[in-house]
Amino acid sequence: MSFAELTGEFFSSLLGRGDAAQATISAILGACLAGLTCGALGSFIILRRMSLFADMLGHAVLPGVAVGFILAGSKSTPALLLGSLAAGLLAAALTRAITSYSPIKDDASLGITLSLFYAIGIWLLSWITRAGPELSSQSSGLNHYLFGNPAIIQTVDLVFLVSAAVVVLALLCLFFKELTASIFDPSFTVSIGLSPRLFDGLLLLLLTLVIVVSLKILGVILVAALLVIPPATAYLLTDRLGRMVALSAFLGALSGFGGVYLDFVFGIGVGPAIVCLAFLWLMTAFLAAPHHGVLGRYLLQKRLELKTLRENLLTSAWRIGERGGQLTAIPIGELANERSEEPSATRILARRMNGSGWGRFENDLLVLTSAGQERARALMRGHRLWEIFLQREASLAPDHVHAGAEEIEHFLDSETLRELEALLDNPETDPHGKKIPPGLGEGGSP
Amino acid sequence: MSCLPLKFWPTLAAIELWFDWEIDTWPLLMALLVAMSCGLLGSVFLVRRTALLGDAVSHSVLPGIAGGLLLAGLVLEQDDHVFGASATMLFVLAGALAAGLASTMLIEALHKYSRIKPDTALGAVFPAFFAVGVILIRLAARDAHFDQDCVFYGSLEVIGELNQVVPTLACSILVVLFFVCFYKEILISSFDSQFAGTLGLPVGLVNLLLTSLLALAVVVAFEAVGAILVIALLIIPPATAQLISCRFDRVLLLSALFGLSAAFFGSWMTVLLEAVGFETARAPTVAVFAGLQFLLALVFSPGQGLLAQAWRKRTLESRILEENLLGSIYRLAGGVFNQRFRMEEVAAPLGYPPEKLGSALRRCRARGEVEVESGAFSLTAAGRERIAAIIRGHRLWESYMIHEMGAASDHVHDAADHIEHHLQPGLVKELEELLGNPDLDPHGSEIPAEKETGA
Repeated sequence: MSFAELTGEFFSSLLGRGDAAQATISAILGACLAGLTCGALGSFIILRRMSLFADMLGHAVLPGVAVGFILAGSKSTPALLLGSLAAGLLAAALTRAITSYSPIKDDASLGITLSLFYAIGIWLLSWITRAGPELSSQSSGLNHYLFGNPAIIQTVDLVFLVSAAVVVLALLCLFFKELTASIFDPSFTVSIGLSPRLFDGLLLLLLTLVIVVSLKILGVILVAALLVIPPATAYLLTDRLGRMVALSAFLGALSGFGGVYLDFVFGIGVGPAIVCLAFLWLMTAFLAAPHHGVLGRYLLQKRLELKTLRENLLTSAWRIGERGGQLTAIPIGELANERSEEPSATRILARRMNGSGWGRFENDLLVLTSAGQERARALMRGHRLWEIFLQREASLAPDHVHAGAEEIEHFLDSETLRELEALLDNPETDPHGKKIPPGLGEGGSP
Repeated sequence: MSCLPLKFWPTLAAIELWFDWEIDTWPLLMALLVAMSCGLLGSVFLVRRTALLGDAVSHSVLPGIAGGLLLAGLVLEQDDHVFGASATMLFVLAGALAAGLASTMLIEALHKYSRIKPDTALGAVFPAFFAVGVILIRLAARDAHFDQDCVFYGSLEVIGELNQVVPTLACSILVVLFFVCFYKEILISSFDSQFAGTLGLPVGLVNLLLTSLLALAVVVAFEAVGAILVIALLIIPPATAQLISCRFDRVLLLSALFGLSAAFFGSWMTVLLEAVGFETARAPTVAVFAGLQFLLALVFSPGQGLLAQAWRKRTLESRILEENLLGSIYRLAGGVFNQRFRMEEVAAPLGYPPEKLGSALRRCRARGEVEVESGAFSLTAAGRERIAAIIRGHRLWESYMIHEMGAASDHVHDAADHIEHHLQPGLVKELEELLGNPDLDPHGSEIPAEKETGA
């Protein structure tokens, strides 16, 4: 079947009846719920720097699945859940014990617990698949706990997923303030009489719970991905924790839905599809997030570079004006002379003044508007006041203050300038004897 | 089986006799080689505090392996060996190296160029690579006879000929050569990479070689132990070695040894377990055995083990009790050493219930430091000599705190009470010289002279 036909079938099966439609709907519900819960909790996990801990727990619940299966003799969901819950808590305790009682550092102890528990789990599974018929006949499908497979989601799994989602979201809402405090300011948490360790414990419990119920969908190796990747994406998109949690829960659920769809169409496995999709959002955000993305920061930097370049032209123009020239239209030759560069280079720079509102390049002249002249005055004022400040307050020699002032002049606002001026007792000349332009309501950037 | 020539090797025959185990040469050799090279490489990453890099690389080479398989399937004619010394292996190796390097670069880029923290970057990138790998493996498994289960379980059992061991053998030789040739560079750059740079050592080259060898080791280990179990061999034997020794050379050797022993005894354990009807895969058994060694070392290691720590703590606690007991008698006697005191009197200044001092009293009596007569006791000459040294330290420390640290004279006793048990004779001597050999402490009590026998 073609891609379009499969897509059509996928969406029509959502509306249809019968076993196949039922299975698809269960899979979507399960994947979305898992994504939602993991995403919401994951925000706290990555901020608390527990990402690798979550990864460790994901791998470490495997022996619990195996032991639960061996003890129950069947794939009874509650038995497997209890087993994996116990294994997760045991692994957390072992990690802690190793770091507290041996010289081994915390990252290595995570690695040790992860691989040890995973090895035990795989070891037990390898026995189960080879064991006598009474176990191995029951065991088909136990491998799904490695990769995950929402096709085997049953009503009881959905019940557990819904309850876990309710518990996790309710506790996160209830303790939102306390969790926020314990993540961003542990000492403040202590000072208001709460123990950060209490909340670490709460996070650990919720984490294990979420991992355990999401296991059937994502499998032990990939479950941590949904706890880390959507929150990391949300972290790049917003600065507020509440929005981050909501966004990351949404992205998790979206990846869950998309993963089931991609598996339906391409047959690539739901767990891997969910993780790939989530990672795609992360890469997109990494490149294109408005403030924290690579592209956004690149554009910001370019804008800053352009502004600095234009402002440097303005200060050169001001210096020419100061020596008796006029400030409205400066010949490029004179400007190049002042800046000790080739006129051709200055021409290229002067052209970039166009569109700034400060001036434009015309007939080999740099023509400044009144806003441009105003800005030049403010820049020079800032530059020279800063030079005095550096000389007086930072005790720098007069011939060492120019470079510092050259950099900071672009960032001084009128408020700071007034404060500087008051602090320095309204000086009239800078350390080099140049006149400081008086303040006239400094024009900021246009 | 082509293991016949080795059958005549007398050592091997002796081992077989000793362990009552008909050794299957190639799986065992494979396990030994993989475990040794992982142990050696892993210990470098462990001491560099980048132990989880092995974790990341082992997950993230999977798409490279699968991509290499797919590509080889497209480019090459039908090839019987999926792994082993074959043209396919070259594709797989190249793919894995590329994927390993790409993932490390992506992790680096994520936390360098955005505000994502390094641990989150690590935790985000390697499951994503693994997921891509799983998808590619599924695609590869559709047309190649590639066993998906070996991603998890490894397939040591099916290794039946020398050809399959050759890549692993080559990798192990490379790893050993690397350590022999670059030992100094590895050592210095692991502990002080800036210093290594000022010495003009090729730090960048060593790091690149290390990462490449790690990716190589993970790939050749892939068929033997699977994608994830290799982490156990990369982290656990080095950590076990670190519990035994702190010296880098010993950690390296011990880690290789622990890897080898895990491979050997793990394989043996599989055979033993199979004999009692508990049939398991061999690779996870090796990993579990490595874990077992670690837990044993965690408890029993002579220097760092839990037992050794508990023993040291116990010894220290009983020594402190004894010294407190003797000190209390010394202070009560106030220089008149033939006086006798009852247990209640001795315990009261210490704030202890009398029965707490029972065992300390027994030990001091056995050593002849305390004499007991009708339920009351006094210090012997030996006891006086022992406690005088402690009291000397205590009172000198009090003087030191007041004169040199400007502490108030009523604030120094508790601190001195704690430190008196830990002052070494050399330090006491230095204190005395620093303070100009004082006779009295700040409270006006006499500071016992060195080697005072009491009079």
